[in-house]
Amino acid sequence: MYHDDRGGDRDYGDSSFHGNTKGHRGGRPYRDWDRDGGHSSHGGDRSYDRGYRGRGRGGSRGDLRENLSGRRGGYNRDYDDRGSSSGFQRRGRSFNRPRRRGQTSNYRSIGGDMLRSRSRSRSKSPTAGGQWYKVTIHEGNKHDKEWLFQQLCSNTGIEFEPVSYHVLGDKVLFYIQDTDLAQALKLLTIHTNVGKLSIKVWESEPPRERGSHGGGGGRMEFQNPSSAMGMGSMEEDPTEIVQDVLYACYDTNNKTLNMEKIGQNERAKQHNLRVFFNDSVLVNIMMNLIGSKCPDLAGLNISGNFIQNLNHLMELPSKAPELKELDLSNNRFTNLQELEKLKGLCQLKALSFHDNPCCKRYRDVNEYRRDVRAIFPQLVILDNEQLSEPIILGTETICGSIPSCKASFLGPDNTSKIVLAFIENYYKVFDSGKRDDLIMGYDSNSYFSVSVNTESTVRRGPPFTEFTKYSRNLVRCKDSNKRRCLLLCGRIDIVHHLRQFPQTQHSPESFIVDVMCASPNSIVFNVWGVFFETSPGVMRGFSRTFHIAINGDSILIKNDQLTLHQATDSTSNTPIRLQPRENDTPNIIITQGAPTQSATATTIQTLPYSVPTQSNFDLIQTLPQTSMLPLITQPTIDPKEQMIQKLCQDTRLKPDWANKCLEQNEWSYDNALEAFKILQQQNNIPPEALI
Amino acid sequence: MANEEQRLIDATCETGTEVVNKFYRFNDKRRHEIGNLYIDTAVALWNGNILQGNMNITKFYQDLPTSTHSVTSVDCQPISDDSTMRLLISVEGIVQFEGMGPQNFSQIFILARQMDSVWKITNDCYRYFE
Repeated sequence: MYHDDRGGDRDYGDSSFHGNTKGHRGGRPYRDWDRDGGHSSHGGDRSYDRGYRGRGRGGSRGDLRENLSGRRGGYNRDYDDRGSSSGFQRRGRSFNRPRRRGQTSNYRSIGGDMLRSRSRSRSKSPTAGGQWYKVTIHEGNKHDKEWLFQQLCSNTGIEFEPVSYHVLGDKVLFYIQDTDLAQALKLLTIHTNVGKLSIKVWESEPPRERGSHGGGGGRMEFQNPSSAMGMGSMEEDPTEIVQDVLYACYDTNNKTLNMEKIGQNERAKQHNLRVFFNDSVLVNIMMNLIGSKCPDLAGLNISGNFIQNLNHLMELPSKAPELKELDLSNNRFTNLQELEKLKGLCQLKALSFHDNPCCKRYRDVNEYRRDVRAIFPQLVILDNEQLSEPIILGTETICGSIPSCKASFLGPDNTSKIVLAFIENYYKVFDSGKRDDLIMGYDSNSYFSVSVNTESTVRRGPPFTEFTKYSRNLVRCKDSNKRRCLLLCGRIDIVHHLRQFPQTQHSPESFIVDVMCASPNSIVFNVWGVFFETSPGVMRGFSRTFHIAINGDSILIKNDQLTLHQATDSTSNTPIRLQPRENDTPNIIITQGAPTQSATATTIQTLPYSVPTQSNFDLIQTLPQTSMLPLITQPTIDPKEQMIQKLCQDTRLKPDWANKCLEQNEWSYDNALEAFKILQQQNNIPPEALI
Repeated sequence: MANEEQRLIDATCETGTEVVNKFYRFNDKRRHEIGNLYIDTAVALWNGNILQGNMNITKFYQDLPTSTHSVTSVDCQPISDDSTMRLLISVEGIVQFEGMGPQNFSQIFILARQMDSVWKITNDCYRYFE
């Protein structure tokens, strides 16, 4: 019954057990511990009981059992014993008391602590002697691992390496062996954009070796310890591996991805990938690749992959909103409600979910169908069988639908020409280092303000040091006076302000532009994109709204509202969706009265405006064609390319290695350089990486 | 004059933040009333999809899955060029639609003060950004 109570994988023997009990039993084994015996003698001294119940370690279980069972017959007593709690009953401590169970566990935990502290010195850890702590972070799976540890390190001020890091459900779990750190973590509160991180720390046994974990066999560790500092895992760039595997599995004609039993896929074998879908890093990369390369994915087969939950696949609905067929069969799902996480797949018509443990619980197939349908009402085929018609009440929509994202909305030709030419010219001057020239682009009553949005879903990047002092974000900036001061009015103040901004490099080709409203004499449009801040060397994302007034041959900016946010890698990978630019795009000048340019400017003036009022904003026919290919008509310098070149110059790295180094440091130039220097000091730079 | 402008800016900030609070409260909890916030001829852009007129906008919002918006950045400027009072508001934040993971979003509003001194949205533009 001991086995029944605590599970079969415990180490039973412990010298402390022998030591503890010796005195009481006079050298004779006292009890029968056999699971099947059904009888047991409880009694004797309390401490005996406690000592044994603790999580002993080290001694030999076999010996003990042999010793005990050898004398079993003689010590059988006629107890109707249902587990350890009856021991208490026998001893008269808590007869029929309703809270008996709780007490039992109290005892158990006391005993456990006692024993643990004793077994510590004999722990199997490589650095014997230190207490191990288990740390769990609830909902930690929502955060990037590196970001998380960066936060933990910077907030506690202690550099550490987590041992046996893994994700369990929505929890992140790892072990540490540093008492100071454990104390610091216990007291730590980290606020994130989705709330407070709940960090729990327990004293624990040393972690088991990774390889001994059940299920799935060996796991590939991409994040080897040195990669935290930079380029340790260069040969094993997970993005490339995932991309390679996805290419092998993708059927371009049907837009389907067949990743059935991925561990047996030839390409995956080459990369030594056995467990794919239980690795959040790989699945995350896969999700991002789907989102950026094939957002119109129609079918996905991930059957036979030992998947237990859909936590890593939560993003599927947003990355592949048009998914129609999904095969999740032959996995390890124990709960059908996991499918709730994919509820956002509004287009899903066919689902396979058979051969999962939770399916066996249903005796009635109709009940199973009902439960699946409660989650996906629009489903037509379940496990290759046609379902009955969905029941729709009244005018309800089956599933709230989210339309797919479309390209830039630029309005009619004449508007889009003005807007695109304006953007190009504006940023040319803005990046040139001569921002004074922008002065004639603003009016004496123009407004300009900048806000910094530090919160983002993905990860945190470099701080906005240079910009935060100008941030007018009304969520944070509550002081009326400050709000007034940070709203700049008039061209002189505005340009003076813009001059103080760090040097930047924009690539207008990658912008997404939406024209919100247009009339013959004014246009309001918004620009989303990224830029490269040259002096700390970081990428930043921005959203900027311009309200421009068109007066004859000149354009004046009336409102200019800029919001900065973190740039993530994928922002810069977003397919470039701007309309192709014609070579004869009139060159609109943003400065007033530059006589040499008046010829081109007149072209604009004579263009007929087809959008006289906002309400008559019929632009659907003139929607720009979605173009998934970069359509760059003139060579421009990609900010990333620029960083790579700079790093090559500074470090003598080869371009592809410099690229990897920057990639691993999230395109923060300083971090990449730092990582390089550290590795160089450690002589960890492979010679072939250098020119 | 300076005082007047100060008052205008203060009022702009108050109106802007209030409108933003209301808008997302309606959007998350009372979608059926969201039409009240727009003028009849309003135009909205939603990730590049154009929606014209109050009716279409209302229907569009009602068809969306349930959402939770959390606003992390707001900025607001007066639009000074014309006789009707107008505001330009930009918002950024995080949105989570039912059954989907969290997404960064950015939304820009143009508001106009109506005859009965009620503020209404004339244009809005919504996009996810990564």
